[in-house]
Amino acid sequence: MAAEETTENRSPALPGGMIGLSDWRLPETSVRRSIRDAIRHVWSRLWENMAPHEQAFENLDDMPVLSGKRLARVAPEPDQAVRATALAGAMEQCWGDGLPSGQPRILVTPPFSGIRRELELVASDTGRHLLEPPTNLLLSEEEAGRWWDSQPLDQPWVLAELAEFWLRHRAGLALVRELLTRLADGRAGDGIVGCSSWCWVFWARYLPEMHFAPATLAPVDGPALELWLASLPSGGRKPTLRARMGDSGHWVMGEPDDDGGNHHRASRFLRDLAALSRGIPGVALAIWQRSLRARAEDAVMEEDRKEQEQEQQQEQQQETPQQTQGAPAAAKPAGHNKAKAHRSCDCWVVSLDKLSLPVVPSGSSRNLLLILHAILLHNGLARDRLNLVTGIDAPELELALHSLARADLVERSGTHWQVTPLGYPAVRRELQSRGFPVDDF
Amino acid sequence: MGDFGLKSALSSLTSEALLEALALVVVASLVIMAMQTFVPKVAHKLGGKPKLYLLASVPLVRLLIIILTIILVVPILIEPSFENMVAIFGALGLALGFAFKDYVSSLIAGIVTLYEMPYRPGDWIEINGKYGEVRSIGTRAAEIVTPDDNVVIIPHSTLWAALIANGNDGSDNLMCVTEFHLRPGHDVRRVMALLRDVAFTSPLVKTWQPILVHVRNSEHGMRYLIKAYPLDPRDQFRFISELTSRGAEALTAEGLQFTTVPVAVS
Repeated sequence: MAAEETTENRSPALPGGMIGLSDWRLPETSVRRSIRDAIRHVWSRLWENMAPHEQAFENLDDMPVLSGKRLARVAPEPDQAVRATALAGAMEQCWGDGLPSGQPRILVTPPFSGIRRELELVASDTGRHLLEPPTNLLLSEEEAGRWWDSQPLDQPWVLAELAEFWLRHRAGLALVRELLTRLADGRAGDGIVGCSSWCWVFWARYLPEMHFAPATLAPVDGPALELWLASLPSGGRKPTLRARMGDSGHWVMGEPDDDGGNHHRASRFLRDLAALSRGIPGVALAIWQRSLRARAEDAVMEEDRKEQEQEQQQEQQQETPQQTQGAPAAAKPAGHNKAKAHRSCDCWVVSLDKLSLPVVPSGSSRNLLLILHAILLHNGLARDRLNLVTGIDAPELELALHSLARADLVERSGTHWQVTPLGYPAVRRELQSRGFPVDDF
Repeated sequence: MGDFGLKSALSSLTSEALLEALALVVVASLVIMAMQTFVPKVAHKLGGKPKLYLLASVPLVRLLIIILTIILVVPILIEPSFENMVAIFGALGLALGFAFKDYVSSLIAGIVTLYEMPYRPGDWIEINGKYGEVRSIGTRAAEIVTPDDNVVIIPHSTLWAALIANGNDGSDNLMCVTEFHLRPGHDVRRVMALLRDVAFTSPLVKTWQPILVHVRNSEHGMRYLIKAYPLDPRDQFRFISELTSRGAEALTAEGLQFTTVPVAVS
């Protein structure tokens, strides 16, 4: 599939559509921003205090945050039904005519892309059978073969997350190995496989002869992020949100009429946010939610007030002769409303420099990193399986998980432990710098 | 010429010049000490490749400081004319050549070490049967720390004659070999696949580096070797232990038997 075929179709719910895995590129940011981030990173590594409260997320500004209700209105979680519809459309466009030489349909996405739930919805909407993993993943080759034989692979099926079908244990590989073999020789029928990027990298290295051509979602760059975030309040249908920087007054999203005013310049916030979140929607949304504020800094408010007064005075001077000549009085409030509309926005945004995202402590033991890596590899793991995969004893594992949870790097979702979207950029960076195999996104 | 012209070269030496030169040498020594203390600490905090680059830069920067100090000190002590230079360095060379032959050999080898880099701080090397991580490279000798936490001082002059095995050669890729000896009469392909799975599922393995399983016959039965790279060279012993433990567990679960060598009785 060609990237240009799909990216032209910019749905607010799924901006960029689907592209080939090899076409994926990290969103770019300015050189200045990259250097500043690198210096900040090194600085924090050198002087970082090990106190847990300094590792977790912190606001470094004193502007008031949005109330829960307003936050839910301005930056809600995406409507999964709308995204599922958009995903189904993108898959139809990408794979509609079938793939050449029986290539299986595999969708590889980075964590927090939100594809797992959407694929489940696609399965129920299109009448495909949803494959669920067995309770016991430690199977022999024969048992794995029998399990796949028992699945209705002769009907169209969806496997929402491949990472849930294996464990990084010598006895936990058989199910996925068998599936990939069946996919390669065309015995698996008409299926769609969703796979986390971390899991995919492992299997691509484990089976170097495997030559599938998976698709992925286009990375959300600055413009795509604007389209997506601005459309969230309307349920992903159309962009409606208007936001401005709290410190400079520059517009982050929304398109005011250009009257040459300084405040109407566009901010680079979204481009930087796209790069910081590595083009991953879930990570970008988590940071976006933390960066929203109810009120701008006093300096911006004061400057806005002065400009508004000046505009009103100018309008009064222009309209006075018309009124004396008997012009309709209704023209005046309309002019005022227009001036107000220029300045008003739904929320204010704090600079990324004023957000202290969670960091992985620089002196972290190898065990802490092994836990984080295992969680990402399996897209979340329960404690007993973490114990099996990492080989770390239960009491030590418990202490490590709570230490990571205090630093906002992991959270429990039911019985599973997950990396937090806010902590993901730091976790990935740390794993990469400490020599761990990381994904390609 | 019995004094090699030293008298005339040192005739302009004053106590002020001596003090100035001494002060320069002290400052240079302090800078070197501070660098040798803090740079490794910073390097270990940063980890990864920056660690290796920073550690490797320490001896080079120290050499530069020493050269700079000599360049600054010599003109303070003597008139930097050609005759004076020949006199000073000739006399020094003669004295050092007789009295400190081995020491000078180590110093020169130390400079060669910085140029050829047969080992750098952070490398895992074996010289004359001693294996360990290079902790620092001094002017005369290198220090390695063995797995048993012994510090071994290796004069650089060893470089002239000894064979040096370097495990990671300035990178963080160090291959580890884990051995298993099994009784013959089993499915060799099955065992090789099983041991590959054991290595691939180790949480400490670098999956993007080759993971190989070799087998050969030996006097102790079938000898299997897993060759793989740990995440960090410092993980090597934990990595080998982990592979040995998981491998033995997997082979036992398959009903395979290990070979043992009978205890020799004298």
